[in-house]
Formats: sequence, C-alpha cells, structure tokens
Amino acid sequence: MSGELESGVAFEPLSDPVLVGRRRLRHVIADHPSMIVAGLALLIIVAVTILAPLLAHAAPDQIVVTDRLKGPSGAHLFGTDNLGRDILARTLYGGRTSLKIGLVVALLSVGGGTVIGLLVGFYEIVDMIVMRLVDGLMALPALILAISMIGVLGAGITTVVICLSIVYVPRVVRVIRGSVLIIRKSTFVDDERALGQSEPYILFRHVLPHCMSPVIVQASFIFSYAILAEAGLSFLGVGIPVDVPSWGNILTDSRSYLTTAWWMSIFPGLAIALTVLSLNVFGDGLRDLLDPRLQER
Amino acid sequence: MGETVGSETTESVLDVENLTVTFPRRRGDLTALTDVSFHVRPGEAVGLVGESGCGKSLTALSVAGLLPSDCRVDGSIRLRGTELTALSRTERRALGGKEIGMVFQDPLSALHPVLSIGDQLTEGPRRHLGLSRRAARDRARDMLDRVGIPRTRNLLDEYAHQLSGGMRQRVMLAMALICEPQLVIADEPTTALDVTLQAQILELLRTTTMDVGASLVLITHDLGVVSQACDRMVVMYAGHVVEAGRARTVITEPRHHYTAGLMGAVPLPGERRRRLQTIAGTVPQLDRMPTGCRFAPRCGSADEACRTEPRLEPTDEATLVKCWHPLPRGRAVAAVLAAEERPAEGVSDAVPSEGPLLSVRGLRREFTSGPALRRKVVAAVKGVDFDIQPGETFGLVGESGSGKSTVARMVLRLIGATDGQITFDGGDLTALRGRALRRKRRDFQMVSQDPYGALNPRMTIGHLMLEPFRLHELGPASTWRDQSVTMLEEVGLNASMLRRYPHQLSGGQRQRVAIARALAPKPKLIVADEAVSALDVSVQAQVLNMMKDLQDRFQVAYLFISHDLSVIEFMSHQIGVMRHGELVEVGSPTDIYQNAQHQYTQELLSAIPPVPWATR
Repeated sequence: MSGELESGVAFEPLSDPVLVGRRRLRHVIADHPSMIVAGLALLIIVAVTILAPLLAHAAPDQIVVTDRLKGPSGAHLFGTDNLGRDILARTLYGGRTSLKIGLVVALLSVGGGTVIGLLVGFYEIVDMIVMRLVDGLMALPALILAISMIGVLGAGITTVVICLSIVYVPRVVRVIRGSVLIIRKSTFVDDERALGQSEPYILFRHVLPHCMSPVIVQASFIFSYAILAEAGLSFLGVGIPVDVPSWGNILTDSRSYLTTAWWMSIFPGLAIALTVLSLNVFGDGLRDLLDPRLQER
Repeated sequence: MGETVGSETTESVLDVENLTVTFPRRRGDLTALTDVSFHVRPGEAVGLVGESGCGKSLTALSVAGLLPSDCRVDGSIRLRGTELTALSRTERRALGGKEIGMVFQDPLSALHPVLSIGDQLTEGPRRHLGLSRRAARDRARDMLDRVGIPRTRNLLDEYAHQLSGGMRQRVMLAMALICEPQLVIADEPTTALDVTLQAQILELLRTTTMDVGASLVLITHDLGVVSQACDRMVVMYAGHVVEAGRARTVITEPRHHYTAGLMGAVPLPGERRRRLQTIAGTVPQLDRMPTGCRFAPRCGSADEACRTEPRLEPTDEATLVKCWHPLPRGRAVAAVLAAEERPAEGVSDAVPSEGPLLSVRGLRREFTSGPALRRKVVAAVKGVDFDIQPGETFGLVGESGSGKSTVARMVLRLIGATDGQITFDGGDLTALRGRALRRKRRDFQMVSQDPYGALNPRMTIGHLMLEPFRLHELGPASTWRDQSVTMLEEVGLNASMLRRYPHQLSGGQRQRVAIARALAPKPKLIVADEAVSALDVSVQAQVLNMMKDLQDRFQVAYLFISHDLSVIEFMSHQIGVMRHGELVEVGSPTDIYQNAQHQYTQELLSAIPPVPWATR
C-alpha cells in the first residue's frame, strides 16, 4: 500500500526542510558512523567464513603430528593446536557453525517470542496462563535448562539450536509484553478501534512496529548469547560433537594449553568478541534507523 | 515599561534587559529569546502572555536560574540591583531559593512524591533562614493557614498524592511564599485546575503574594486571567516582546495585531453566530524563524516594511509596541469584534422533526477497584439520558472526573456499559458485536484529545489517511489516494503532508489530520473528546471554525466534550452539564447560559474568567 503512495506521484515541494526517503537515510548514516563500521565488520566476518575453503591452507581436521603446538608463523598464521591442526582453518570453519547456530537461535526465539509476547500483552486471559509458564522457564538458569533438555533429546547441532531457542524465548516474551502493555493504552490504538479496524490488524500493523526497537536489540543480544552458550555447552561436552569445529569447541580444546599456547584461545576468542561487539553496535544503530522520531537532531 | 526606563529602574524588584537565550546545536544555534526586556516594580503583578513556543516559560526559567547548562544567556537580569547572570551557580541557587518563589502548572509533578508536605515546606526556611525544625514547622503551619488550609487540617505529615489538585496548588503556593521572597513566578498556575477552582486559586495567588510583599510574574496563555490578576502585561511572540503596557490598556486597546488576534480567537459569550477570528498558521519553530517582523507571515496587515524588524517603541499612551503598523487607538476592539458573521443556515437552534440520531437512556458504568477481597464498586456514570439530533452538536461539559469521557467511550463502544441503552441511527448499538459492530463504526467516528498520541507515530500521514478508505472500501482502490488528498484539503492541509510523520506536524495540523481521518468514511456522528483542549488559542479558533464549517458541509452531528464553557457555548445546539456521573442539566445554550436552573451550572458559569474586551 505504501508502494502506491511512493511510486509515480508528483508531490508538491515541501515548504520546509522535512527529510524524506533516501536523504533521510543518508542523514541517519552520517549520524551513526559506528553502525557502518560494525556492519562492515559483520559483512567481512560472514564473508571469510563462507570463503573458508579458499582462505585456509589446510582442512580444519587435518592432523599433522609434527606441527603440534606451533606458534603463529608464515605457514600457520594463527598457529596450530595440540593435534597439529591449523587454528586459522579451524577458526574460519568454526565460525560457520557458531554463526549458523547464533543466527538460527536468534531468529527462532525472536520470532516465537514476538508472537507469544504480542498475544500475551494484548489479551489478558492469555497473559494469566502463559506468563506463569514463562516465569517458570525464567526461574531456571538458562544453561542448566539447556543441558537437561539436551539430556532428554540427545546431543547434536539441531538439538542445541532447539534447546537454546526455547531457553531464550521467555526473554523476548517479556520485552515484547512490556512494550505492548504500554502501547495498548495509547490513544492511537483507541483511535484505530473507533475507526473500525479489527483487533488482529491493530495488533500486527500498529502495535508490532512499536515493539521492533527492543526486539532488534534483543535479537543482537540473543545472537551473541547463543554463540557464547554454544561455547559453554561444547565446553561441558554436551553441545555439538567434538569433531565439528565451532568457536566453542576450539576454546574447549585450548583450555589445557592456556599458559603454553596462547594462540589456541586468543584467536577464536577474538573472533567471538569481535562478532558479538559488531552485532550489538549494529543492532543499536538499526533501532535508531527504524524509529522515525529519532532522525531529526 | 517605557516610563520605568531610567531613574526608576533602581527601585525595580526585577529588571530584565536584552535577555537573549541561545541553544548551541550542531546544525546551527537556536535562539529562543531575543532581546527580552521588562521590569517588575515592588508589589506589582506582571503578566507574561503568549502561546506555547513564544518563550514565556523560558523567560521565567532564566530569571529563576533553572535553564539547562548547555545554553548561552546574554543580557542582564537584576534582582533588586543584584546582577544574577554574574553569580556562580551556587550563589545563584542560594539567592534564588530565598528571594524567588516558583509555582508551576502541574503541582503533582512539582511536589516530591516521597517527602512529606512538612519536609518539603520546611526545607526552605531551615536552609535559607536558618530556622530550627520546630520553628520551621510552625512557620509552615502558619503559611498553610494563609493559603486557606486551616491549622486543624494537619497537612504536614501527608504526601502529595493524598491531596486534591486545588490543595496541591495551595501547598505549592505556600512553598513559594514561605521564605518571604521578593518575587514569585507562577507558570500557568491555574491551567491544570478545574474552572471552579481557577478563580479561587488566582485570587489567592494575588492576595497572598501582595501580603508577604512580593511582586508577581504570572505566565499564562489566558488573557482573561491576566485582566483579572495583573497590573501590567508583556505579550511575547516567537521569542520577542511584541507589546507591553498596563494590562487594562492593552486589553481594551491592543495595538499589536498578535494581541488583537489572540483576543478575537476566544469565543465570546452569546456570540454563537460569529466566526472566531483566527490567526493564520502557527508559531514558527526555532530553526525556521522568519526574518524581519516575526509575526509578519501570519499578519493580515504585513507589507514590504515588515521585512525589516521593527523596534519595540512607545506609543502615545505608554504602551510599547513592536510593529510597523500598530492598530490605531480606539478602533482596536471594534476591529476584533467586527468579525465575519456565519451564515444563519445550519446553526439554527430549531430542533428538526425527524427522530434523534443518537439516543442514550439510563447509561451506567461501574468500575471495580482495590484488592481482590475488599473490592469496591465505583459508579463513574450513574444513569445518563440524552439525545443528539442529526447534524447537530451536543455539548457535554463538566469538570475532571465528572464522567464525560466515560460516556464518550461507551457511546464509541470502546468500553461496555454496565447498564442502559444506546440507540444509534435507529438500531440498538449495545447489541452489536464483532464484524457487525466494526462495519457500523463507519457511521460514528472519534477525534480524541491528544493530538500527539492519536496518530501512530511510525506511520506517514499518507498511510494513516489511506486506512479508513481501505478499511471501509470507500470507492475503488485507485481513488483512495485522491480521496485522502481531498479530505486533507477539506481540513486546510494539502498533499505535501502525505509523506510526513506525525511528529513533523504541529499540534493543530495533527488534530486536522485526525479530523480528516474521522470524516473520511462520511460518518453521521463524530465524538470529539476535548478535541481542542491541547491546542493554543489561535489554533483552537481555527479548528473550531473548521469543525463548524464541516458540520454545515457534511451534516455530521458532534458529541462535543469539553471542560471549557465558552467553547461549548460556541459549538453546541444542546448542552448537557455533568457532575459526579450525572447529567444535572440539559438545555439549549440560551437556557443554560442565561437561565441556568441547577445550582452547579450557575457555579460553573460564575467561574468563567471575565472577557473585559467583550463589553458592548
């Protein structure tokens, strides 16, 4: 519908400098240089993990016994681990697993949490029932909950993703519910109702867009939490199988060599830190970009 | 003013000279006040008048030293000869706390929620006068007594939320006066109060201030309030002083077009057929100030000369006017009142013979409150009956808490009624549910009070305007956009609005959009709940005129709700007076305003601030 408005219609020139369309975008970007840097960093991280076969000299699981625990050098930029595997290759391939898990968990839990949160915030009866369940889930420590679920369902990447998604849904539900409770009371919701709009329409077209800012911030957090949680689960040996490289698995392997081979932990650690940081900064910028009120300063 | 320059200035309590306040911003400095000068003499009350955004409150904050730290203040502010701008922040606070008392618009947010009234009242005297706790409490009791709260009502250990609005404003006043300051600054002190309280509090403000020997600076948008309480007045527009002089002189013979315009915009008693005089446009925003005379773009008499800025100069009888073409003496009031008559058709008081459009019988609504086991039932509306004829306006008037809005929400079917019947357009409205109700909503629409909250801030105006057309499938989809532009033009806007967001519009423009949206499905009834209360006087006049014109054009009936008696009189064919959930009196404007039967109606009427320029 917005297409009809935007396309092919000659508008009168604006009498005063109200920023519209692409000019507004440019303005926002100029105001958020950090968002551009973070976005570029994310792009590069994703690109190098996709291009891992081209960038790495060796396969991530290729064991070279003679090259055990070698420091960074021309042959092995990030050094080698206790089995003589190339850390650079493992970090790049491990990124594939970790980012995949982070992305899928973020999408699943935000998607599910948003729908539940909207219903819970808008309808009081749903609220009374569902929120008790959510409170129950929140009461248990996330990692313990995930471990016990994996215990029931069995280990594997899919299980880890499902368990982490379920664990993070309550966070999203709470955030969304809070926003909905405020917006539900605002005048324009009554206005829409008086106009004759149906409840689902109001809920999805009017209330949902207002919840997007906190959701985006939550999504970037959950993305990073999931990467960390996967690392934690793998560390405890209940996460993804040892033979699949992930940033968590690599860190786990490096634990015994923290003092003797720093490169084993530093590089995958940096990868996690850089990804998480970029995600959060990018999420903040995105939130501002989506709010028309924050654009004129 | 003119006469005070020179020898008398040393005797003034407050001298503000060439005060200029600038907010440095990345994209250019914003100058909010430019060369503001005025003086306050001992025992005098000076009114600062103007619409929002004109700089009244900022002037007050500058004097009180409460401006945000990132702004630049030039010029001079002297309190009894002491240059305030030269003092350090600490010195200024010490002096200001003792010598300047402040009364704000909203006493609930100005009073501390978790400190008792006693704690807050004694803080000043203990700090600035060095009194002991006991002495300070004595003084506080004394002060409360003087603002009309008897000693027997021991208020000192109560908290702000336990008090009524009028009581809170009395406490604020006591707090402002307790150190016996030289100057009291009251910023819209009665605006948030009910009509019947306004007059009382204003009188109290005036007498107690004089009592302790303080001068008063009263900030208000209401010319009636100024004429009631002030000796002299200063009219501000867009950060400039545009007119200043003796209150009575300025009000009976305004020389500046803005002052006269403000007066013309107020609905006068018994003037229902008159169109309100309006000032075109709105107060300019800080970053879009016109050069030359700042009022020129809105002024009917502007010409080439107005491209350069006029000086604030004395006219013959000691009023100062900043205008190239001041209104001539003596003709000013006549000019204000010689406004265009409305055509008689469409505003006749005769009740048409066909049946009522909306008929409300025994409407009742109860709310439950309190904890689960001790739940209390409170009736907000206790059985209300009224009819609205097609194409007419039913005005519902009453103070806050009288149940007006609850009636509106029940008529709109936003909340259910506990009991009673609403018949609309021949059908029982209370029986409709779901899809049938949503379809019927086409015929009764709503315009709400809050022009800021009534439009989804994340949608463009174009999008918002499209919604009613799509929802009710008003004509083929290809015509929706043109239809929404037509509707916007109908309310005095144009297609350039389509791509803007609500926050990029002024309050008046937003309210116009809300009205255009409500009118789009061509409803038979529009429920307007305090639809103009949040708007400035000149904008309010524009919207009221427009709503009347639209009623004539579209034959729409209004359920018009307001706390403002003069607005209700101007708009309505029938008026209902509400109090404590009951309709105490229903009648035509003539019945109500000239021959009120109920005691409460008479009370309300006597509380309307006088309109001295309406004497004919």
